[in-house]
Amino acid sequence: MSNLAKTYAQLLGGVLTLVGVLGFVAPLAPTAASAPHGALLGIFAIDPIHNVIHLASGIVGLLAANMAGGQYARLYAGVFGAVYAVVTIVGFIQGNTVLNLIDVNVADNFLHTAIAAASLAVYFLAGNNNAAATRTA
Amino acid sequence: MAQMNFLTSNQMATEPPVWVDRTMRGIIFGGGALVLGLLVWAHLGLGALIHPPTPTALQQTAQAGPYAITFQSPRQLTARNANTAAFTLHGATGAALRDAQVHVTFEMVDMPMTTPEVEATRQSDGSYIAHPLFAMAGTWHMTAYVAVAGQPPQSATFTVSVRWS
Repeated sequence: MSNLAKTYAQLLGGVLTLVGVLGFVAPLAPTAASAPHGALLGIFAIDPIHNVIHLASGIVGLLAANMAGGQYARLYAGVFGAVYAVVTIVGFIQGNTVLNLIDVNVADNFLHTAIAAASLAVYFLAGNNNAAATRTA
Repeated sequence: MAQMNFLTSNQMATEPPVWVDRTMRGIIFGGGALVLGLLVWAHLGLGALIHPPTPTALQQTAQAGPYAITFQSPRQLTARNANTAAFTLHGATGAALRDAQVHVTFEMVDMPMTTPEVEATRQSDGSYIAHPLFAMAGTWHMTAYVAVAGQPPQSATFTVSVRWS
């Protein structure tokens, strides 16, 4: 277990759960020409599927942070970091490189990038902390 | 060594039961797989493979201010292929408009996605032809913007289904 991973899972889980819930709140997600299902706070394009994705990611994060003393927080950071890394790559390929057709919300792609980078960083840093603790013992 | 044993037994004391371990691993890996699957499904529009959008009429007419705009396509629109969309314009008197400028924008209904707008070129028969290229199958809104010299611009939106093939 790592406090870093546990804190991170609580933070990310809480934020994603909140984002998922708020995505269903119409006044916070006004529709626009570029986001027919709405854009959360006018920035992040959302739709029902993405709301479910955010909710699922958030709830799993909260479970990982709070079950068994947070021992699964690092695993959560690693697995979801990898998932969001794949999503980021797909998003940027779709948006700019290969098809050059699709205008998926760029803010979403950068959000996915940030989540992937932070999660993978926590996964590896928490691993190093554990190793250091073991060596100290 | 004694310290090592103490720490090891202490760590073992905090280890969760097997069923908790399996459940949590299942939730995390299952949740990750679910999220990945949903994201790939949504971003690649794979749902349209299993549930193709209901075909829409190959000819539709909509009113844009004083103009009647008729959209026609020789066949159902498809993704990743060049399509042909013909527009004919009629004024309030019913006369065909042959001196307008028409450009068309596209916006997916199911998700926040657009595709580059296209300019419709005027044909000798008075129609305006555009060749939209859709990145993904699904239901799209196609909006035709009409500009006539000396008149305010008008637009009309058509709902069209785009299939993978």
